[in-house]
Amino acid sequence: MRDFNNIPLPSKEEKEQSIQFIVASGMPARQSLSAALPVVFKSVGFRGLFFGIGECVFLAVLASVLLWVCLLSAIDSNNILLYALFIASPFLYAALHLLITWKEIMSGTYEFMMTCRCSLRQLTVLRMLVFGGVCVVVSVIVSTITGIISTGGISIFRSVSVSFSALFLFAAVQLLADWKWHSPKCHFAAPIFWLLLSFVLFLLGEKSMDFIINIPNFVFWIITMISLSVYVVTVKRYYFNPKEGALKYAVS
Amino acid sequence: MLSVEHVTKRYGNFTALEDINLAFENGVYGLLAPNGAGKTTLIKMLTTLLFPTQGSILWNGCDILSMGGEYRGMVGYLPQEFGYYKNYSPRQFLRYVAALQCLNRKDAEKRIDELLDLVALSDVKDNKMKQFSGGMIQRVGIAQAMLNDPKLLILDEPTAGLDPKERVRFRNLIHNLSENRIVILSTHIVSDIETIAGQIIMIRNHQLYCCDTPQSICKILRGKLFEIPSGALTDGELLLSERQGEKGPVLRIVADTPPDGAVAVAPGLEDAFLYIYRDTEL
Repeated sequence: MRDFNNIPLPSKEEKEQSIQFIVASGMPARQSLSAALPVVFKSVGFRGLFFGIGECVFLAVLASVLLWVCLLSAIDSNNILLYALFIASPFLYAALHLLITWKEIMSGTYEFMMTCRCSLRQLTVLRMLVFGGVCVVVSVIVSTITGIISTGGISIFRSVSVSFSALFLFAAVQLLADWKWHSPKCHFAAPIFWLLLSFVLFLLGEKSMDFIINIPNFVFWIITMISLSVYVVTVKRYYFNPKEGALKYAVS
Repeated sequence: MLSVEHVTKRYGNFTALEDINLAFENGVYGLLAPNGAGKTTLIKMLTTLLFPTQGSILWNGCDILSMGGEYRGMVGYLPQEFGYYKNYSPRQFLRYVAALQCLNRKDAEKRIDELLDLVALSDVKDNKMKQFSGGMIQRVGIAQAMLNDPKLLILDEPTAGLDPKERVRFRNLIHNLSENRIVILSTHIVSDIETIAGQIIMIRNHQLYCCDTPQSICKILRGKLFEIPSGALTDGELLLSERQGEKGPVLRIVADTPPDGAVAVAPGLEDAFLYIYRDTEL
């Protein structure tokens, strides 16, 4: 006769493990960002990243060149040079990001691109990484030129550290705003933050310039590393986490 | 295939849609409601541009939000205001959309040629789109929505701004494309869907009013719709519309009993629409 009171039933842990195994087997494997991005890049291609936005790239580059020419011609001391480098380093990145977003919204392509298999958000991540890379190159070139112009006043190493810290700090703030703020206004958050920061530093005048020049190099590198880490983590979240993409609601 | 289950969408304190339940199989669905009823909100939730506040939308049992790119790759979407790059040709633009849809380049080229032919734009496929009329742009929009051979084709007010000839051409096009896929056509223009939609979805007071065939919806007015010469209406007579008859203006009214001189007429979808939304400002 069977003993129904002594059936070897699984423990609670075994049940939980089995449930987790079944759920994990049924769910699609989670793709990593490093695996997902090359697939998207292969499909879109380098030219595809800039399709329809040629004028935005041209305007951003032109404005950046003009800004740097103005700043470099106005610089008469190392204090101002570092201040200018810190404030102006994210300009190309910011201008590209803002102009392209503005163009996608104004041309009416924003919403339909959000519904494509490779959505505008994923395309934006790719663009931001490319812009980041381009801006790093530009920062190095500009920093090197400023180092040469200042002939020993500040080292190239210091120029690069200031430039990178500013660029990645801006990029991290921009991406955090894009990810966390559920409104098209999020695109203006970082530029406004940077403008305010520039204005405050400008109002403080000599004090702020002295403050910047007295910050040791390693502090700039720490800011760079922290900002870069936030940027990379946020890029991953921004890429994978779903977010509403409607620009305006049907009702007002 | 596609099911909307107890979906509610709120914007703050305002409820745009409440407890919507729908099931879609292959065929053409007309989403018919006055402006502001919640059509575009529903469309945007189906395209993952908006997320439901409550409830879920499932594709073959899977939540569309968790499916991500896999779901978006099955959807073709023509928004109410279709955006395009004016300085590019339709062929260049469609190549770009094909890249965003992650289509194989060789297959995409073939598909682009087929679609441009289908929407009668082959002759101008290399012309810049800034020279195109509204109808031609709308046809580019249809082509981009069909590029990935979608299982779900969503068209939001697709005939807005088209002239009558373009609208007829558009209707025929949609009819031809409706095999083996779900087509959801949102509009407030009854004639756009009367002839091609197998099912009509009506939203009233932000809730689902019905999802039924045009014939069934028209039954609501069977035996109650009459035409009378222009004149004063009595109690119990509801004026739906007015038209010019051979002997002057004729009123199309709803009444339980036929007035003197009234001629019974067969109700159309437009009559049913006007009757259902009689309390709504159209």
